[in-house]
Amino acid sequence: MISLSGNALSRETYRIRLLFDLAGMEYELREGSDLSLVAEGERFQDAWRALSRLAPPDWQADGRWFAFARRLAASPTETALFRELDQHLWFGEREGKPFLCGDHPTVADIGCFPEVMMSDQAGISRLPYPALRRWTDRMRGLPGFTAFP
Amino acid sequence: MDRVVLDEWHVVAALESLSPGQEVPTRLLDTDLTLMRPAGTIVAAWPAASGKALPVCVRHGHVWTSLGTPPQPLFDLPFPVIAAGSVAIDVPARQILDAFLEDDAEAPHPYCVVRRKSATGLFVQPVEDQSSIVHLLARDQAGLAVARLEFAALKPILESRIAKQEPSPAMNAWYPVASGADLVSRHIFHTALAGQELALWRDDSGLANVWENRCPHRDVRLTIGENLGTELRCHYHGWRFSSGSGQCVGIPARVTTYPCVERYGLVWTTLAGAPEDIPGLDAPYCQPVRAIFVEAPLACVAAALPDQSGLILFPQPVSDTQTVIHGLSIDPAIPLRRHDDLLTRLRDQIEDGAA
Repeated sequence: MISLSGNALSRETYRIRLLFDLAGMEYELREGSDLSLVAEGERFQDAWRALSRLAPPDWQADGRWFAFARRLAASPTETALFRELDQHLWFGEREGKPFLCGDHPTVADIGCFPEVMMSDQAGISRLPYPALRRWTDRMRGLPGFTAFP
Repeated sequence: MDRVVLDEWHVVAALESLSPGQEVPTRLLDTDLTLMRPAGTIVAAWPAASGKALPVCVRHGHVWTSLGTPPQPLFDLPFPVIAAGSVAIDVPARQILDAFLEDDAEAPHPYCVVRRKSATGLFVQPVEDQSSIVHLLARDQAGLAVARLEFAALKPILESRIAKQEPSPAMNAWYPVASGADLVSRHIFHTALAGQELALWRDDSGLANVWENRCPHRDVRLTIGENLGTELRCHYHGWRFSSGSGQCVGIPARVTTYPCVERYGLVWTTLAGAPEDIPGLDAPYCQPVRAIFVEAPLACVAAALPDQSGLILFPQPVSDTQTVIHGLSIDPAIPLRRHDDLLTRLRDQIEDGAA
């Protein structure tokens, strides 16, 4: 059993929970101040390492978009990143790839999701990013999806 | 500032958020404050500008202070509470309290609302006219998640209030506001035309709607609602508006609707009057390219639009400072990516020039 403790209001905890919830992985959640995750006999303090190590094979992302998610988390108000994401998703929609790495969601989508959903709090409207708004609809429609607390 | 408000006790922090010995900045009624917890439940507060100590009391798991002379002891609550997290939000304190007051709630203090049934509540710290910090309350550890979920459901509604706008009569023309492909099944597309926010959606029969992005009930944006296939459902109180007419189901209310025509793969609308027809296009092939959002006024964009062979461009004024460029590719031999490269470079040039 995976044991996760963390601040339920932090993006890092949410990212991990989203993977567990969407991929149908069992875990127990406890409230704590810092992120701490014990899984498969290993302790994780870094959400990104946990995402890439614990994701089941069909949730693994390609390196480019996983790296992109980390850049977005580091610069969540960078217009250029939102534009890049919107453009990528628009062409993806035409090529039968509704998610960042293709036809199914991966940890790259999960990695980007909290920053995209929180962007309006940072003063970034999603009105200029129509393909990104459609992608958030798709993410919210996935089985097991949980909203940010 | 109103004397009554100044003399009130105001919440400024959850006690547990203050680490002993550490100075913590906060803001109350346009005034920067510093908080400090030397030990235990002893807390000091002073305005950052003067350093003169303010009255402080610690109660209900929170720290309270006053910028005036608080007359009476702090109020009681109908049940004991613990802090369930604090959230900053760009909404006036009054609006938050009013929204939370619905249903079975009570207000033991002007800046506090509690709900007995769910055993939750909130203290609101008025930071400035348009911004607040909400301190969430739960009865116990087990209630923390309920308190947070309850507010998480309310927060987007509070942040999505929008004022009614009157379109300018100068907008007597057809503009493209989306491509037909943007309006995917069960989605609500968000855009604006000349400052008027619009919610666009396609019903399950394929009919497209262009509506004002405002629920007539409580002014919440419809774009945070739900496309049910035959109706649009407002996220706040669940009022449903029918495709086509915008008529509310079972309630005498109607959303403001605008004309909607799909032509050449684009969705066109007009905000005022009965304009000339949509520009005629004599092309055997046309395919919308990706619309490009530009942070520049219409005049700057219109002046920079190139006369590009194989591409017809239509600017949509979004606001006084923003424009969307819609394009139709009329040459099937040119890949959409090439048009996209051209238009994103054009956007960067226009924005550099407008800056």
